[in-house]
Amino acid sequence: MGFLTDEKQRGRLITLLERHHHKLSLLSYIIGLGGFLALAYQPLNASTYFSENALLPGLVETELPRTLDSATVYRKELEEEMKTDTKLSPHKWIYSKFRELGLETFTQNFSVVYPFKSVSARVVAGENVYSILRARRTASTEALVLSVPLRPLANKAKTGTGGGIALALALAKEFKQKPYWSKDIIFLFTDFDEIGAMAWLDGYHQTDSQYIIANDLEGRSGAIIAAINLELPLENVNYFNVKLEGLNGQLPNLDLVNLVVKLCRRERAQVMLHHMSEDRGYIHSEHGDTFKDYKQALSTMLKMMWYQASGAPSGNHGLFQKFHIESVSLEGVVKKGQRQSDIHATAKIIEGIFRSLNNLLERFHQSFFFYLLPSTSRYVSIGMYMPWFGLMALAGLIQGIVLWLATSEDPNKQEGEPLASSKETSDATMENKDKLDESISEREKDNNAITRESPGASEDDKVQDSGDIKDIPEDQEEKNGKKDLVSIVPVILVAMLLGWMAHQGPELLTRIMPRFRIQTEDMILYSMLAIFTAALVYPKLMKKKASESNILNLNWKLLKSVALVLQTLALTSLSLMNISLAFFLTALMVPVTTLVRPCNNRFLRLLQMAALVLVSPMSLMLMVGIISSVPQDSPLELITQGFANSKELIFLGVMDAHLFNAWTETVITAVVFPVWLMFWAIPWIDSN
Amino acid sequence: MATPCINKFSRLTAVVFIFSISCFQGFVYSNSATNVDSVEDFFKSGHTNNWAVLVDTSRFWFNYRHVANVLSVYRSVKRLGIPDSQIILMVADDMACNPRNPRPATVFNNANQNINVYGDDVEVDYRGYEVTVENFIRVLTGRLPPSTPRSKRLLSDERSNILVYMTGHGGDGFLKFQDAEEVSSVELADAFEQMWQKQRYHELFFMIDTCQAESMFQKFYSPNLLAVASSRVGEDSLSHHVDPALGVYVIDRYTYYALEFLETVKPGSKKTMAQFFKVCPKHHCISTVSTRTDLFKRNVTDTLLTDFFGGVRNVELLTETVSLDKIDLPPNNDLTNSCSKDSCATNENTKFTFPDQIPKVLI
Repeated sequence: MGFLTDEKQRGRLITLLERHHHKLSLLSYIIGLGGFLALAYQPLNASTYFSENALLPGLVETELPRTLDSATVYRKELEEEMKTDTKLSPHKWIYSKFRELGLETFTQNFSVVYPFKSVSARVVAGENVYSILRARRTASTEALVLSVPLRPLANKAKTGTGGGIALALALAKEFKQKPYWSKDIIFLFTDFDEIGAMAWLDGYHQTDSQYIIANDLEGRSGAIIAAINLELPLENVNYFNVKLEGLNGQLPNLDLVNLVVKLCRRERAQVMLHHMSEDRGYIHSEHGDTFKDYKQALSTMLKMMWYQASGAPSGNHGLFQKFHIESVSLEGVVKKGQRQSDIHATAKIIEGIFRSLNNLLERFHQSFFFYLLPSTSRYVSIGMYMPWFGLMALAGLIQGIVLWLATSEDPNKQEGEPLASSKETSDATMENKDKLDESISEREKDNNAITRESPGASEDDKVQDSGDIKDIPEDQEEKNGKKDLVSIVPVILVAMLLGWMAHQGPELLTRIMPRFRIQTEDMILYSMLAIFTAALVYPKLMKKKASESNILNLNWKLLKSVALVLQTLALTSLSLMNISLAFFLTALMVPVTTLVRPCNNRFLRLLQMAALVLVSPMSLMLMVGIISSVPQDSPLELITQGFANSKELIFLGVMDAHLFNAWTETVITAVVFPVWLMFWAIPWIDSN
Repeated sequence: MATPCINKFSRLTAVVFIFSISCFQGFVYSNSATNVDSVEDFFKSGHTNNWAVLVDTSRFWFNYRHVANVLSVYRSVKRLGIPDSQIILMVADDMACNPRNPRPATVFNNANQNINVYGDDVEVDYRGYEVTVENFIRVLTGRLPPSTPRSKRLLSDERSNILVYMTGHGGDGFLKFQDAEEVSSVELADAFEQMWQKQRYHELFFMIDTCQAESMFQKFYSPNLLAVASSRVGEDSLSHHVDPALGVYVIDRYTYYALEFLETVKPGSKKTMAQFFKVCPKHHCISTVSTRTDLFKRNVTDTLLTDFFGGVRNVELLTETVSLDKIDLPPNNDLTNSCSKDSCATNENTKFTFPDQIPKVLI
């Protein structure tokens, strides 16, 4: 503790920081980034294990018949039913089948009010079907959910879910005869995928949503402990893809993921994460440390982070997590020329998962909620990735602190004796010590500039560092501090205001100008672009007003320091909720924002501006769009497809924010964008 | 066998003896060598009654095996002759009625589901949340509230041999009770010392199947304690096998092999504790079975297993008639004042009194 409370010691720390801050921040960024990416290397991560004793995964033998004939019968019936009208989902059929089984079956109507009323006033109506299998020997205090999204055959964009429906029916028939359920099982069929799931969950928990108006549920059960979402096509599948990224980057408890993976493996079904195949060697600790394995694992991990960063749910499961219901999606993928898992094997997997979940005594709480998966069977926990991320974020903070110190030292200079000799000596020492450190010399220049502004202030920080601390009258220091702060307050306020506008913009614009005959996607994109370009010129506008000399007359060090601290604060807070988003933002923004500074060289200034624009939220969105459409024939196609993708991305982001309360859009527009705008002002400041 | 010396005791009024060794040995030494041998054979343990305290300390469905453990031991000691009235059975959870149990109302200790250890005649004295450290210590030390029924009390005396069996989840120096508390090895050792000072046992056999079980008896310091534990400090005790139909582990290794041994024991068996201690070698148990004999006075090779696992039923049927001497009652004995309905009818003012249940002369 003495290190920070003792002024002499503190002085030493400050000296160390001031002298080496460039090296330190560069080093911490590189080490952080390298360390983070190295976590996919097998010896650096750990293999998954079950923390929850109660699960007893795979101990119980199946009680299903060897071939679950009812599943194939249901599948055939369903296929015929769906073919009669390929544009309709088989609500009625499912309802009547569950009724036939003698289960409590209900429907729930809901309507979606379009967030942008002016564009389309139409209300979309949907219907969920659900059925409750009551546990015989307990009160209905707990429940498990098996959810299947309803997708008509005509919907080619997404895989069909007919297999899931047939399987749910067959399993309901089997489960009904068993005496061992300790929790009710709810079979849920949702219309419009996530929107239906959201409506049902709102109805179940009696919460209200502004845009999804859900009817009350007629039948209900107890607290939902876990949910499995099935996306199985009518055909036999070749492998299972586990989807776990939920709303706002939330993840299910790792125990649930392990359970699903383990039971798939037990039935000899292939299970993958983001369609990435993996070597058995990587899972087991003997030989998984080859470069090939590392590359594979890294791309799996980055893929997972990519999806998590979006903050959009990758399936129905994503919305259950919002209600603290652990859930994953199991997607069956049909791919020619591979070993198949038929519906009987799938039934056994689901049965096994439900028997294990049935054993639970408490909610999932033992295992990790924050983790990254480089493979289905290996994990990187929050304790492993957080230090590396911290180092990356620290790079910006170091610079922020040093700049803050530099600005707060200015008043000292005014107080000190205006001795040219002391300045010279200090300059000399500095030159000796950091001859090659260009930045320091530049800082010297700044000091000179400030000295010129306020004559009589020429003592350098070195004097203070050597222990010669003066007692400064507090009010004067305060006055100085205030003056500096006041100079940057307008910039901060304007940045915040623009952030708020970007956040509210799309909705405001659609409300103000209702009669544009353009699509909502375009509307949102163009309004965003308009706000962004308007924001780009704000330093120019402020210049004109600030003074006649056509420069932004403010303390850029203070501005940058505040912006860096704010950026670090925003990114580290974000990292606790959505590490992936925080990681990508940090990896891209921190190097540019820490380097940016006012400079007289026209070329350098333009270069800085270009770099800043490149890491601006808007171009990041475009980049994401382009990357997500990567395998394209020609560069032109890539760009058009990328543009279309990013348009959809922004649209979905805004829609998710309205429908599901996803906050990725809010974070980008109202937090990252204003912070970025503060940095944007810096190259506009005259370095003199 | 013991017939020749019976006559010498003929002053005692019963043919079926409840022996007390202190008065008995005096006679033994005055006898011939052959008699000494045969008498020692008959009475060498020195206890007159057997008790068992069987405790399962853990609840929850995934701890099914602990309940199966304790119920299996319960079944064995009952089979070997300790009556329900002398068994305190503590079971922390009701597995038979757990909704997850695919075979409701049963508890099995084997994957073949041969024996339902929760059959017709199981008397659980402390169940569910009654199984607490406090209740356990109170039962041992006899400090129970007056309202406690006799069936829930350990009514042992200085001639009682007690078997204490415990199973659950333990660590170094403690055994977890339920999900919230634990009994430490020191507390347990002190409880046994208190039992000794209150003359609540003659000999006590402590048997425990839990992780790091050895640590539970390391702090014992009271005399006449014999202990066996399923594992050493630092070792885990493992379960034996899963019943795939139930989906849970049904029994622990040490208890499984101990029961396998006990199944071969019949009420009159001459199997000794030394043989019992060899049960479950490391290649079976994986953990190392650990014993403690330094506090025990007798040699374990001479100590019969049934001294702890069976009830005392030393009964000799004699063919010849034993003539008993008439006991001269003291002149002013209460008995002389008593009278029957007829004889007292004349004296209406006399206050009736019950005779002492045990004649004073015999005490």
